[in-house]
Amino acid sequence: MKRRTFLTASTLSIAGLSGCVGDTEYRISNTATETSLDPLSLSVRLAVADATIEQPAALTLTLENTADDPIRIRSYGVWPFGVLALALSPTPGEDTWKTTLFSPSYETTDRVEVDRGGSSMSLDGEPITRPLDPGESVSRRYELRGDDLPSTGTHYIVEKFDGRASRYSRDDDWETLEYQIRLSIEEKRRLPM
Amino acid sequence: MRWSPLARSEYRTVLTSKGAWILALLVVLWGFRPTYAGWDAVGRNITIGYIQIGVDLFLPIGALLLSYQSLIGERTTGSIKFLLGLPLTRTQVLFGKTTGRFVGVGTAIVAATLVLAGIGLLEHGTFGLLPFLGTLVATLLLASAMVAVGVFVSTVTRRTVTAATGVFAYFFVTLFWSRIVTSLYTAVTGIPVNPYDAPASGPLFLALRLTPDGAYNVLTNWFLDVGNSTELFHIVYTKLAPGVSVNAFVVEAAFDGGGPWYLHPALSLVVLLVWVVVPVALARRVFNRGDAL
Repeated sequence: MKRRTFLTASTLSIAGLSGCVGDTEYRISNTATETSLDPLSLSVRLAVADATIEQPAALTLTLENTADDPIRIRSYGVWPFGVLALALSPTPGEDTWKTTLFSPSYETTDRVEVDRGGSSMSLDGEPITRPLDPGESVSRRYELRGDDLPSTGTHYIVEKFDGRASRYSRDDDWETLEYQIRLSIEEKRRLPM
Repeated sequence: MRWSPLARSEYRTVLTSKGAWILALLVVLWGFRPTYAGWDAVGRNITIGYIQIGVDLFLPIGALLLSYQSLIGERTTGSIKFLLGLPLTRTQVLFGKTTGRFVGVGTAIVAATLVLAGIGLLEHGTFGLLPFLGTLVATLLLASAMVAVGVFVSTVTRRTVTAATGVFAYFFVTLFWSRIVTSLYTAVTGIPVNPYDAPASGPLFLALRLTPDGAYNVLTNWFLDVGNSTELFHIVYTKLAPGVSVNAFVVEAAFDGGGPWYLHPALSLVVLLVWVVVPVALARRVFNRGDAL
């Protein structure tokens, strides 16, 4: 190989690596919510779309009581949504990897303990039950750190711990707080190359 | 200074070569590496970390390749007869060559540093001026040390191929320096060295930081305030994070407290200065006494 060809090839190889040698960053390009919670209304607002090295992406989940009566909501760890995660399926199996979503509300309670990266978590087994009055709404912020996310594609918000889904009740029967929040996540590139 | 025209000529030789600008390009392309660990470690000063990453890998070999032919090239073409015919002492010829090559390499590397700083400024915002200036000075010191080694190799060898072999030998020794040091340490003391849990040995840690690139990393990590180590800044941060096991030699992880006085990061400045002064002094001795042709 000629020296000039070698130099050109080497330089282009390194140039091709630029942007690849850093960590992958992500962008939430779309959110969609499906719920069948008759007396309750659930909405998602994308507060920060980009999960970059500087900041996590952030979602604000809001639950509103649209009924005329108070509704009791029972959750584990933090109220009213519990500890949430992302999964590639809306109904992940027990062994499926779930990417932990972090919430500032975890910091305000000793019922949830989580370390950086979500590799170690503990959750208090005693549920929290509180009423949501008519017309009242409650919002919680959840954050997605880019270094925790394994891949791009469609992800669903699910309960981090199996059997610990939030429930609600208007009388004595408890119903699961069923909803499907779908996030479309794509790779974000810093350099246009 | 009578040797300044020679230095200017060398400076122009470096800056008009493709090599200097390929070096600058490689430093920028390799250095710009946004990582979560890097941001967690130093925040907006990650821009300064980009300079450390790019310079650590490419400046030593780049500066050597741009300076090892400074005298051997004159010998093989015969133009050294013209050079020695100038009204300059041999010491002045050597200083002119070294200074000119250093200013050429330094200009290219400062350009690369400023480009990385500009990219970092646009991507992440403002960063610390003092750590940046400190890193810039350390980068120029590393450049001058590598040029000094390159000129030394060029002075003591008689054939270009020998000089090139010397350059690559130096490069590979520094590349595998930590393995060489840990193997020697184990052979002498009988204590095995596990980089995941390194022994609190002052001489071991001192030996690890005696190479120019090791001393450069210690200095720049000091400016970035991440820890006392020859590793890149984000690796030092990861090593010192609780619950993480990394194969890196970091003083704070091995010693309770800061370790012995001679491991203070500021002393790496002395290591770099020694790498500038000693090769130039040896080259001067050889060039003045030997047959220059």
